[in-house]
Amino acid sequence: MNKLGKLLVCILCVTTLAGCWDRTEINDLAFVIATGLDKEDENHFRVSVQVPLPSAMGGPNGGGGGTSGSEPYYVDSGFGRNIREADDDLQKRMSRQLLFSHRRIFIFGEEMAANGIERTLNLILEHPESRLSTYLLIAKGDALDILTATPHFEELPSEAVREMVKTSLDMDTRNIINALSLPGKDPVIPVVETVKTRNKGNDEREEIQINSVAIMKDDKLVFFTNEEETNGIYWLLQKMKRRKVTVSVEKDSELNIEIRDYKIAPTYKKAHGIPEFSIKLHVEGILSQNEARLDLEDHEIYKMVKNKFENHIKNEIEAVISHAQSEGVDPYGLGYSVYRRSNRYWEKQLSTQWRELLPDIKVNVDVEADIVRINNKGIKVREA
Amino acid sequence: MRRRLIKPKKLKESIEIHHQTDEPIYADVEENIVMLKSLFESCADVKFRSFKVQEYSAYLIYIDGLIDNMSIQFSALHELLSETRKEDLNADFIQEKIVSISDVVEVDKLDEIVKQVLDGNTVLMVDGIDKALVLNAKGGERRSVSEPETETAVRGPREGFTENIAVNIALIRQKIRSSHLKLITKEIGTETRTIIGMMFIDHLASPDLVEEVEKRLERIEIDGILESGYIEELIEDEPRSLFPQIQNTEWPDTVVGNLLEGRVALFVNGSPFTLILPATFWQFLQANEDYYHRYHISLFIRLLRILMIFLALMLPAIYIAVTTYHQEMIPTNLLYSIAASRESIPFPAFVEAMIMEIAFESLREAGLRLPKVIGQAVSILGALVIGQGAVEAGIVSAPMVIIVSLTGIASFTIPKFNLAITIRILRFPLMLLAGLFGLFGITLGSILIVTHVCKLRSFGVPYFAPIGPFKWKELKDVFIRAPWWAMDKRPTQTISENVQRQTEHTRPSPLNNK
Repeated sequence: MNKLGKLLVCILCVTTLAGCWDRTEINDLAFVIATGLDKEDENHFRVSVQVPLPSAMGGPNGGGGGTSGSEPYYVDSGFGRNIREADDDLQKRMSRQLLFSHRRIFIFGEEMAANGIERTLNLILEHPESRLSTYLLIAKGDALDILTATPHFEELPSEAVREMVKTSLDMDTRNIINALSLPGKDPVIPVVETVKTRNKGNDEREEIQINSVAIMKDDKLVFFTNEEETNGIYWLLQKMKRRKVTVSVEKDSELNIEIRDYKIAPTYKKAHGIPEFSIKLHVEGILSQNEARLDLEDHEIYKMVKNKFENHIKNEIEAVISHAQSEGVDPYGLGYSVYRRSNRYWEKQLSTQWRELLPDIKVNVDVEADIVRINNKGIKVREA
Repeated sequence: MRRRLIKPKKLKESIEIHHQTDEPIYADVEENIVMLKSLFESCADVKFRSFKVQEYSAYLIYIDGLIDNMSIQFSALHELLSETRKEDLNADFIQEKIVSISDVVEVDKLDEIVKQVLDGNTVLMVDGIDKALVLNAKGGERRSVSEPETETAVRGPREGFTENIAVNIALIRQKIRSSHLKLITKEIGTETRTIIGMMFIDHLASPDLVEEVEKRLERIEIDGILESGYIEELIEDEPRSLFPQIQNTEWPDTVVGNLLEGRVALFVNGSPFTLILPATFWQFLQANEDYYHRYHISLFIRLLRILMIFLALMLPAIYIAVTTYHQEMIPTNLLYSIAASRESIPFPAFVEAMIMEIAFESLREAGLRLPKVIGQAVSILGALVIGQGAVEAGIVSAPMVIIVSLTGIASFTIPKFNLAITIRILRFPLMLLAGLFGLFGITLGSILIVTHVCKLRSFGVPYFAPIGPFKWKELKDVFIRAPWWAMDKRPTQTISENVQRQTEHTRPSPLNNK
């Protein structure tokens, strides 16, 4: 046997005996695209997965109509004392191997979130197939209900949720882990819920909505924001760009303004041993509708409108900050801004008692808002 | 390791060259003719035309079909028959006063006569003269200069090489009207005595290179050279490599362009394919047209080719690797559609890819070999049976058909056929590696290929230059083609002196019009 033969034998041995083949055909995999996690009992969890069914998703013979009425996805739940055990439980009913690397959303049930998510997050992060770009959400009620909902625009509920998160709070696992690990800052997590379409009569269909934000105290859910507070959080976390606000100016008439750009900067000064904060916003908006037919070129009128616009923003922000403060939560990261700017002060005097101090800290919101473009008032039934 | 696969023979066996005769030419023409006839026994195409010049017998010896009958008739035969006087009959006088053919040579060896006749010349022998006159009146039917069919171009000259070396050399001479253009001819092939022409520009091509080429040509001892491919295989640096190390072309302008960059061209009589050496890898990705279009177009097309050669080599392998090992790399929505179309496929991705690639390669080969009339049937079969039928029958998935056709199109964009074939062949081991080890295998394979390519040399020039040994300044003519006014210098891989190609600052601009 010559050298080449020996080499070939070696290569063959290395390739076939090492046993590190992980070849799997696509047909043998079940791609988990969404996971829901609910707490069933003490140390007993339900893990629900959503898996698309390739045969129903419009292959060469399917045509992709979905005419049979059955959804192109499959939802099942496994139970266990932790995620992995529940996954293994699920696998027993699956002819295909679960693959988590395409998971796009991860939903915590409300009860689960109230008890803290950090342990679960650690388990997820341990799993090599998990992705940091997975969107984390908290469901109002059970996470399973979101997975079984039937949104009408997208084929898959998880896809619908993902698209909505992207345009609202846009918080993926990485952002939330960051917020969790930063001192003086609490994470916020978008909240997803199922609602009915608001048509009359029996034409009520189930839809998914993202309209609220979960304010967390470390890893535990504290409260869901209402509509005003949600906007406040969006303002604070720089998510208001391209969004629209409606400002009431007179009785029965409002201005609609699209936010073009804004800057937000917190400052603080020490007073009586605790810091006093001031959050400055500089907002630029574009007038998109002028129902009141106000002449904004008039200096006095503009001043009045500007004032109302600023107050509107200010109220939204103050609503969420004061609510969070009363619970001892800091979603904006006031503490973090101190941590960054005068670390010693933070470490020595604030860090240990930050939560107790928070309700008493004074926060001023200072808004400077301008309408930089107005619309054409000539386009009216009769000229002004 | 590799050397031991085939053990070299201990003794170099040289072939015997049969010298036919070393007789001189006698004054008695009949004696010569008898001897020549015995040498040309059973050569029915060799004609001995006997006639009388006054009372002396004379012979014209030629091969039917190789000579120009008209010029022999009017410039030699006619004049000999009508104007010759008895006292004028000696070799010099005939040569100087009678025969009106431009190229006439005297020979005095019988062996020489045989050679000249075989070369297509006409030999005149007259009784009483112990010399023979070689009248160069070659003729015969041959293909005229026409557009090459293997390499096509949108812009550029339309004339391509023919099978006749004299025509080919003239085509070059028409383009380089300089005495620096040198031509060295050799005869290679003990039976065919094929004429090989080696052309270079003496102040550009390095003398070492010319010498090396000559040396390698001299080493060849073979019975026949039918095509320049023989020469290519006999003189290249690394005969076992898959990569072509000598470029061939049918375009005279490509040859001229390369001569001007200090390369050597080898013409082989009987083949329209002219060899250009040394060659680098990047040369095979360039077409003559690149230099004729405006540089923006060439820049775009060259970048496109780089992308395409990558696709032609890697695409099926990457598809196999990603779908069987690294599903997490596929964008989720794309994964849905791949999964959906693969749902009913009975084969693993690797087998599926192999089926399609082999089907495609054989289709291409079939289309190439068949007569043009039947060729259409092949494409119908291919498109219908393999493309549509296989997908509808659920044997092959639609994405795989797309991958294979993309790969096929990509390999067609490589301008030089010999590199395209290399890439096509290398695709298969890469697919195997991808099927066995995923992206890890592809990485291994690419490392092997790149190392090999970097190791290659073509007549002393690193094959991967100017990327292999990196030269920033040479990059203007590799991935991109810089505008002509920016290419002041010739590439220095082959040229060491006379590097300047044009005066500097030739960029058109109103400021330069002083």
